Amino acid sequence: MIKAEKLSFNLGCKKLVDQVDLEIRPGELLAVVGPNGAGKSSLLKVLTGEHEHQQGTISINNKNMRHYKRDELARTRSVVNQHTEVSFPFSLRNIIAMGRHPHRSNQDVDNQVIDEAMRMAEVREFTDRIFNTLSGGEQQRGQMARAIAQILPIGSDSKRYILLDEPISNMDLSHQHGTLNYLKKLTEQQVGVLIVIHDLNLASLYADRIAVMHKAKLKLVGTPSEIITTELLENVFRLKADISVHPKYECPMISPIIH
Amino acid sequence: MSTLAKSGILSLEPIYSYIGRYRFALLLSLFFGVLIYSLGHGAVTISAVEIFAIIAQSLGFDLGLEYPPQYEVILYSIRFPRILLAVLVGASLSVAGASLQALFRNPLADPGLIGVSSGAAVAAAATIVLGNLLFGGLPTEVRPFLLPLSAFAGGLITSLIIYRIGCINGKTYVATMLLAGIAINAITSAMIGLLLFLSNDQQLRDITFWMMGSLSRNTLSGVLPTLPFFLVPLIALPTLAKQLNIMALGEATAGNLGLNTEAVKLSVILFSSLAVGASVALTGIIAFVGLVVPHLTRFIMGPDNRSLLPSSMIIGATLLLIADALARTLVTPAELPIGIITSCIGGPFFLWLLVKKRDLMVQS
Repeated sequence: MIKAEKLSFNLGCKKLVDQVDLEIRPGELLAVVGPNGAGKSSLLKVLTGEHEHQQGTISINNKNMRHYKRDELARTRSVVNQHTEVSFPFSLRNIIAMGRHPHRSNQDVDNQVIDEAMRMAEVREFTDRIFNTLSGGEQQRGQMARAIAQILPIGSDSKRYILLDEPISNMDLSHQHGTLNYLKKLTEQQVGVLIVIHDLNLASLYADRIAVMHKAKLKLVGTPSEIITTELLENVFRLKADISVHPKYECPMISPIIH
Repeated sequence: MSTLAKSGILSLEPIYSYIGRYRFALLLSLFFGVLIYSLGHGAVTISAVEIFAIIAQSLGFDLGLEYPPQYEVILYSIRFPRILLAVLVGASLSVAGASLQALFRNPLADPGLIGVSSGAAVAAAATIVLGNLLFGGLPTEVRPFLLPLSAFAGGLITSLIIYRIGCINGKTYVATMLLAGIAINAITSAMIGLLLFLSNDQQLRDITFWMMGSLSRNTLSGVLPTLPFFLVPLIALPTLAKQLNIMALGEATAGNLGLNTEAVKLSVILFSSLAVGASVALTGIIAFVGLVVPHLTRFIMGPDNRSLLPSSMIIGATLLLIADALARTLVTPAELPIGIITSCIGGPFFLWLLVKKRDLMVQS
């Protein structure tokens, strides 16, 4: 479990993450939602250690994150950032192979893992293309394949996590669902998944729990049916909407009302 | 082939690496060819066989081949130091350029353009003009090291300044970086102007000739003390190749992959300053090598720094040998400063690069 307690992060005198308590449990898909500027990306960057938090603690699998060696941490959790620009004309396969950097495993294991990651992220048909020539959605899928290669193979020794910042923002509808589907499959192998996402209906469909960020604070955490209410939509997102229940999965679905 | 590759049955990688090795061997043989040619050609022509015989002779093997005795002197005291220097400087500037480009995540980061070379040049010029004043008290054994050391310090300081100005939170602002380079080049040329103003006639000649970049007037005893300054970065920079590849993903992702990005940055800046400093100290500013050679090499070998960095060295050394051969032979018996030749080739190349980049941007 990744456990954040009383986590705070300021940039100058601006509070970007304020006293956040959050757990990412192995085997669950946790969606972080919130309006623009609520602190979702900052929270993710603090959780990955890219931003150094000023207050609070983060522990991963019951060990303080600060006590991890760099490689050990990189093998335990991987990250897909929002911006994924690559300098120089590396092929996608090169990029995915870089995911194996913290492992020092032999070539056979690496190739096997890379193949598996390419299969899961459905990027096989363009692995030999130059990364920068891929479309935005293809780049996102490619970066995800790299992040999956980074935490495979999933052993029994310790739990693995993957944290993603708006990973499906540039994808078409079918790949959005495809991606959330395989992230869901990863949770079946006891991987903990945190995903920053804007589409509340997708979050409702796929997430086990939803965390709502608002004005740098964690406002609510709970199951989709606990979280997605007309009050929340009005208070946090300033949106009038009806909420119905998905006919098949019985999770809440939002139908916005135009005023 | 492409359908097989698409289906995932056949990955192209093994073929690439096979061709890569083959290309590397080709580059090496080209290098040795040019090396032998350069050793043999100048005011006096010495044939490859004679060169072989002279070297064998000095290693203690008598091949029974006749050659005029003065050839040995020409080879060892005139050609050899100069060619050694051309190889070292060509390799150093190229590998420093390639490493800085990987670090700044931009193909325009050239030690000359961003001001590292001129920073080293100011420090070296100050040592030439003010050396007696500043370091007069030091023992004579230390003095050969002063010039490369001060050039290294000057290069290091400018690299750090450029990095501080051009990169914030792991993101390179290319326009800012290049403009900072222009500013630094302006400041350094003012400082060099001031030093010229202070210098006497002999120093004036020394500095002017040296500023244009020249491989001449170096003896073996002048080159040998600086050898470690060249060899340390030539060995150290390629060992950072894998880390530099990962830096291509951006600093944040590289950090999330377990890379100690601060250590990589510091090592690259340190070693490339050392390489540029040593080169500038001995030969002045030889422009555009650090820009043109990595580009050319990336074109032949691909972007992987594990092959790019060593190949850049070979291509850089080869090109500088060719430039030096041109410098020596174009206006015989006089000699052109080699910096003029590299600028004549590098300047148009840079313009072509800008136009190509612009077209790419217009297309997308």
